[in-house]
Amino acid sequence: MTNPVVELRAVGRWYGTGRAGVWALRDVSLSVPAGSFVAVMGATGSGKSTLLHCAAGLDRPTSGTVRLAGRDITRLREATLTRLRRDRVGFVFQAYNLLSELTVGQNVLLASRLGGPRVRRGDLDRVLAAVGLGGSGGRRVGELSGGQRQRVAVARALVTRPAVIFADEPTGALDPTTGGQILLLLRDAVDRDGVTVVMVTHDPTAAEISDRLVLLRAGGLVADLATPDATTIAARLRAVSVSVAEAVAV
Amino acid sequence: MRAGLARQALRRHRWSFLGPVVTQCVAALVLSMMFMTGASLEAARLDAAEERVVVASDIRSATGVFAGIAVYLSILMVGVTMNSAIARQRRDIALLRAIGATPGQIRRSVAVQAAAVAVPAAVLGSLLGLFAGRMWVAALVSHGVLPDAVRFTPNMALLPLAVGIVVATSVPGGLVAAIRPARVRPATALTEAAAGPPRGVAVRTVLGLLLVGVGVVLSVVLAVAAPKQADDAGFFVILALCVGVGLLGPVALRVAAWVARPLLRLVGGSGRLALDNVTVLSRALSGALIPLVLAVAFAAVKVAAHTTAAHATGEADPAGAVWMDYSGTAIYATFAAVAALNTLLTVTVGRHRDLAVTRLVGATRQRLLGVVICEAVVVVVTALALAAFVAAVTLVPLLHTSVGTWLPYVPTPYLAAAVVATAAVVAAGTVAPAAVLTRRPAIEVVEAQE
Repeated sequence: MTNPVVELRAVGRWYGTGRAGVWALRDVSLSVPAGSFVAVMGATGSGKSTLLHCAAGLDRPTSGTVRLAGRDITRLREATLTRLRRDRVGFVFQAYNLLSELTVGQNVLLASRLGGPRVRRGDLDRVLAAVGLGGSGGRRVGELSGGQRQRVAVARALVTRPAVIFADEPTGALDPTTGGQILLLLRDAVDRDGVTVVMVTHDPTAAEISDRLVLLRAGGLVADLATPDATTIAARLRAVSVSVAEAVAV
Repeated sequence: MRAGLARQALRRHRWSFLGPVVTQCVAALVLSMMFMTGASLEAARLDAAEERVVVASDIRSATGVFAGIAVYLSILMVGVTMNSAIARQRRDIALLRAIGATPGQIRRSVAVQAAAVAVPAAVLGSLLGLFAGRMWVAALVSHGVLPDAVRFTPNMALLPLAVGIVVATSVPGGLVAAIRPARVRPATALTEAAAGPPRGVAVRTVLGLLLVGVGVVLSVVLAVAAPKQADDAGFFVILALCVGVGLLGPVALRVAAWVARPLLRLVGGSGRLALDNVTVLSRALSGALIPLVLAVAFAAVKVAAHTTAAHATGEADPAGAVWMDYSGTAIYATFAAVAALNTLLTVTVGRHRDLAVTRLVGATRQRLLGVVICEAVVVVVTALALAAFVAAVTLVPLLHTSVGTWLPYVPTPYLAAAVVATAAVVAAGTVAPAAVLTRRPAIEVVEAQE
């Protein structure tokens, strides 16, 4: 049994001040072993993005502890936490993902140039080829299509050989075909390079590519199972979403 | 920073750097002007009598003071203008923080941006300072402040010094401006909506009325009780009144829009749209009112103090002293104008997307620019009316005790200059960028990622 790459213990995240506020996450515990592909799903406002942000060290939980790549990050200094993200974590977001005025190559090498792991020329070319952007390293990102941009983002996440990649709705802005290609790139990274992927999505077909499915409702973890087929995922998702609507109505 | 935030920012958000650039340009201009005046004094061969004139004029210390003011105001203003410049880079900064840029790296990058734009701005400003310096020295001679023997003799070796000082003072401004944006948690910046927290309008209005009241009372009391000190204390009266009307700015703009409603209705739909916009933007636009009112009121008080005295008594103040007084006023007024310009630019550039959406739903570019021009007119008229009020409150009691008249006298050319200058600043901050920003097809703007 390998050590978990990401481990949340009784994590809570409170938003707001005084009495006016909400628990975006409450008492969530989750352990993600190395080399697994986890999909996090839930209705809008169920806390799935907050879970991702807390797990990735982009946000700090109000209670509980988070371990990332073997370190307790809950009370880590900001600069140390930043360097940990830079060296061990990759990110793919839905949008606002790249610096549009820089080239593909410059975007992929961002973390490295910020002082992260050195990337050799050959590694850059190999990663770009792997995501289907071989020979495009010199193109300006602003000229690329949405699908190509997301490929650049995946390349940027992969190039530092991170322990874990966090993906927040990586296919949310793409058509099904293009989105499917991006998901396959993430799947390849897991199968071929042994990277761990934690992906937030609301799309059952996207979630189908994962090994494990985590469902959230109103900030709480309500299901944690081996990923079933898309139809079953859709049914489970509907079930937790409906109960939120009912909970609000009551 | 090697990772390219500076490059991304300078390319993508070019417009947002206009504030810092103009600030640095003006600072370099004033520095170069003062250095060259000093060099001209050094180079002039003066006899004992002429040397006495120069010493009596206090010009040497005055150039030093003016240069110091320029450095001080540029640090302050680069900080303020860089802050609004990097507000546009929120997303980029959040992304870099997420993938591994430390707050320190972000701060250094912003300092690099400030210094990078400072180089061309300061070179341009210091070259313009050569012309300004030539005119200033000529004016000082013709007004009798300096003897005829002093000629404009620029020392080119001082130009790099002026540029260097401006570039160097831009670094602390950039570092300070970036403290808060660099510290924000990446998750917050990536998700949070751009809107700031609403603040109390009532508190603001009460505080504004209070400050205006304090200004009025202070002015009257000073004029009656201590006419000798009143002149020096006038600045504080103006400051209290300006901050006061600045706080009342949103209300003042709403009132102006309400008053102007029947007039602008003649312009048709554009006029109505403009009034709605002014009402919506009143809080943002009022940020430009404080420096505008401060500049115009301060200049008006300085000018009217001299012209009214001359008009009422028939005896003019010494031309040299008046000229030096105006020169100092011009430096303050210019920096204040830059501050106003920066705020207006920030507001207009921030409306980039809204302007595009308005075009998408059917407004032509001409119609849209018509709306922006109507808005600008409302802002100019409001600023001038408030400035006239502030200047009158400051000046009238003073004039009554010192000269014995209730009526300030300002020659028409000065009044025209105030109107033209205010209109130029407001147009440069609203109409000009709107004209440039609406050149791109609206759909491109709306579709482009922020």
